[in-house]
Amino acid sequence: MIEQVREHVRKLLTDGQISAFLGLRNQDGNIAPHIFEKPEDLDEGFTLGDVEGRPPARYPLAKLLMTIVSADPDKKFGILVRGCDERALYELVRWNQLPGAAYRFVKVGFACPQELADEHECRKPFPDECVAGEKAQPVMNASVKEIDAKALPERLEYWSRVFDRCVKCYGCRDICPVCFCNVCTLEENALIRTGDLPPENPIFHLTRAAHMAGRCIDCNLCTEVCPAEIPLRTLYKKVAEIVQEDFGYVTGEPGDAKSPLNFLGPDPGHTSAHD
Amino acid sequence: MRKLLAFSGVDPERLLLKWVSSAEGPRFAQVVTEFTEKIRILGPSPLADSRTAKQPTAGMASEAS
Amino acid sequence: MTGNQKEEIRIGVFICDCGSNIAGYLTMQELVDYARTLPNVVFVQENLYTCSESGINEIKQAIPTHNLNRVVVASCTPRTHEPLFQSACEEAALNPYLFEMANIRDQCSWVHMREREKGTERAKHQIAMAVAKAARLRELSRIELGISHRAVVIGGGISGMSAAMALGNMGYEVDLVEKQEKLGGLLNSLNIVLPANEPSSRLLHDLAARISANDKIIVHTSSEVTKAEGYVGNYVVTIREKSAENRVKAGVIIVAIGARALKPEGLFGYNGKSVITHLELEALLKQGAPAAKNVVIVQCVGSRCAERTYCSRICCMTAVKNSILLKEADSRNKVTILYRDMMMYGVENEDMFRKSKELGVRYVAYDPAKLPQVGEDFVKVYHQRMGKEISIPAELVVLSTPLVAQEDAANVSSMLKVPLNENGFFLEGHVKLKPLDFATDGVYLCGSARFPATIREAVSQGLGAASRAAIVLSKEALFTSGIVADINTETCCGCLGCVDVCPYGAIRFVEEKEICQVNKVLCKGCGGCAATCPSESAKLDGFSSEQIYAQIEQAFAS
Repeated sequence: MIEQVREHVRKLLTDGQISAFLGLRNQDGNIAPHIFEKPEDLDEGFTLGDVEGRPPARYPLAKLLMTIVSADPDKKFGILVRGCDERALYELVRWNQLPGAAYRFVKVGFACPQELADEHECRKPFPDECVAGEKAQPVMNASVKEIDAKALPERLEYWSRVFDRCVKCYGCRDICPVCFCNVCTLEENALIRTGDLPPENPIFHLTRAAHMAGRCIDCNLCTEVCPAEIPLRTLYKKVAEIVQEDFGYVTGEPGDAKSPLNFLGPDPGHTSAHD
Repeated sequence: MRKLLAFSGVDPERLLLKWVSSAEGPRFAQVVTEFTEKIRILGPSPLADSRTAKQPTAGMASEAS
Repeated sequence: MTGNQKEEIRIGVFICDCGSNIAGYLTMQELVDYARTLPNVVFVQENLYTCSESGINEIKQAIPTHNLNRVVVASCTPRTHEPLFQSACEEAALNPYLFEMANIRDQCSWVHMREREKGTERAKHQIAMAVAKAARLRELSRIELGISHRAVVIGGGISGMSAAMALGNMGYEVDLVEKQEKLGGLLNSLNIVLPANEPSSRLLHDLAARISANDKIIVHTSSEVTKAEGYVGNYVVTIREKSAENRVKAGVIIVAIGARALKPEGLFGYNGKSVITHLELEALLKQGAPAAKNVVIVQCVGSRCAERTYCSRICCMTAVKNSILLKEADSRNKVTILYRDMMMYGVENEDMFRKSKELGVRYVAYDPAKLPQVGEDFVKVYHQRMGKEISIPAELVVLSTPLVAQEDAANVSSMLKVPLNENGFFLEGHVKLKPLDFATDGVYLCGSARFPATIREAVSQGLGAASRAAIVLSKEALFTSGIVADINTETCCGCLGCVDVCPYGAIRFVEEKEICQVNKVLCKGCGGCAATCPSESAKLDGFSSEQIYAQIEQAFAS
């Protein structure tokens, strides 16, 4: 699989269709995002994230692309995408974080193995177009249903307990491919008192959850990085479910649908006196 | 918000959002009275004891004009 | 922004008795003593009426004497009095946005009239909230705008004509835009106007002649307004006249598109011949009285029902008027009015009602659950007093149908961004305080476009709308409010979240800088952008998060 991807990228670079490729590189056993500028660079450490004996490493490449694209406005980039990366790209384009997107980057997609799809209970473990890989079966995550099955006091007890483990490392936010704000509400003292540890429970996590409405693309990176093993994804999945139920909006899909919180419902001014 | 609160284990009845026009004084009074009554019946917020220094999580009635 | 941040904050609090309106129900001395204890408050004064000349003077004197840099007035509603107090501050060389108000009348003394202690307690909270916010107020500035001293009136019916005439007489240029070939609207179809007892054509011709004689008024017939852009003082209105399109600059726009009479297809055997509407009857009466000897008029046809719940207000008077004309044409004519409730408000209408009875018009109340049945030459109705059905001979049946909204009302509404109510009539800014204004500045309404109106009401509303509009037109320049949104250029990430939320189209994305920017002239200070911004980059001046949080904290502090 990796060979197909490598050769595809090599061709893009050789033909000059892209000036550089944002992918992953294995350097002395450590996998990290890397910008490949020359075709021959691809022969050294180019990887899809696989490490022996461990699940493949993932990074919010879409978020990195955002920075790279704005730093180098004249260049066109290639980017390695899994299903989740692609969903993030769609959402970032929608939020205008990759301006001129259509001609600014080329996606090089590959399907995740079933093992990884199972690991992250991925709803779509492959991008729309794949250069390589067998499309794995989507896996549904049942964690929301588990919470829904609990009674109110049990839910509160559960969340209070897991939120109290939070060490406020902001890892969930920093890894999040769709967290792009320059200033963050989570650091707004007037809303969430700063200096508390664990942070105000449940305000800190519910605030972040509210900000994930219409944004979270369900990549599971937040839960993966959380040192306190807080099941954040479950919380954001619920938010996504609410947004879908109430506004019919699903994140991470192509097209120019607007995020439901970014426009007014009925025509401006037409508010009814009755609710 | 109500659905998210319910999911987090907070009774969604503790949050109320209603559109009340500035020309609907009696309705505003009615909405607020009913809601305060309801909150009284529901009792102190289960979140209140975790942060005793803070006021209990009250509801919110929004006024639009 | 200003040097105030470092300056010591000195707040003056003025507490108004409002005669006995507030002082009669709250313990004022307690409020005064309490206000003195609040942080940053250096001066507290109780006034009999803060809004009176002496009250205003006291504010103006206290500012320099006590070196105040913030003013709080605890009195009535900011909606009516804030501008007055702000200008008092301004006259004393204090930025008017360093002023804050606490409404202890509407929200304390009025609602807690019989609860002196609780009301007083509540007033303290509100004063504390206002003081907390005042301490965090910043100087804001207004932008000066030039204006166009010209008006566009949409609709050349009686109310639009009256509005245009009034503005023309004041010396302002007016474009009067009428969809039909001639001015007059519904008035063209009417016969005699009571109680004036004049042919409607007389009223119409007289007004039309005065309009055409006025060189300030340009009449556009067979024309439509197709587009309106801009804002108060500086609208650009596109008028399509026949096939040509013209763009005119206007400071104000008056909506006077009127209403239309409902054609009662399928109701009470309506056929346009023996069962007709009042408009059709008026056309017959214009040509001389109809031959029918027995006429039955049915009220509330197609109104006050599930489909149209409202009362059209004018049909009772129309029915009584036409019954009198039928009786006067030949006293042997038998006229019966089947009604649900007769609404004849005002002395003259009451006289007209009495006169119709003296002339022998018969009134029979019907039960909406047992609607009258229209037959070939009779109408059957259940007589509630007699407790049985009676049959009334009728060669002619006249149906009183309501005025309903114009078909293009929705277009005009979305073009001007002004709201309609559930029945498709235009919704005024406030039913009592702004009956002829829209919430959008510089757009006014009058006549039956607002709600079914009599001729007299349509005229007075037209004149009223003209005088509201003249408030803008008479100014040399306008000042925008200082309460406008601002987007932090440093932190904005250009996500466009605010752009579509803005109901006034005041935010645009600046490509070069990849950020969003507010046009402070278009901004109405609704705060939608500030609420939606995920990163708190958009804020509303005068309602910053810091100020609002401070108020909330005070509200909950005990």
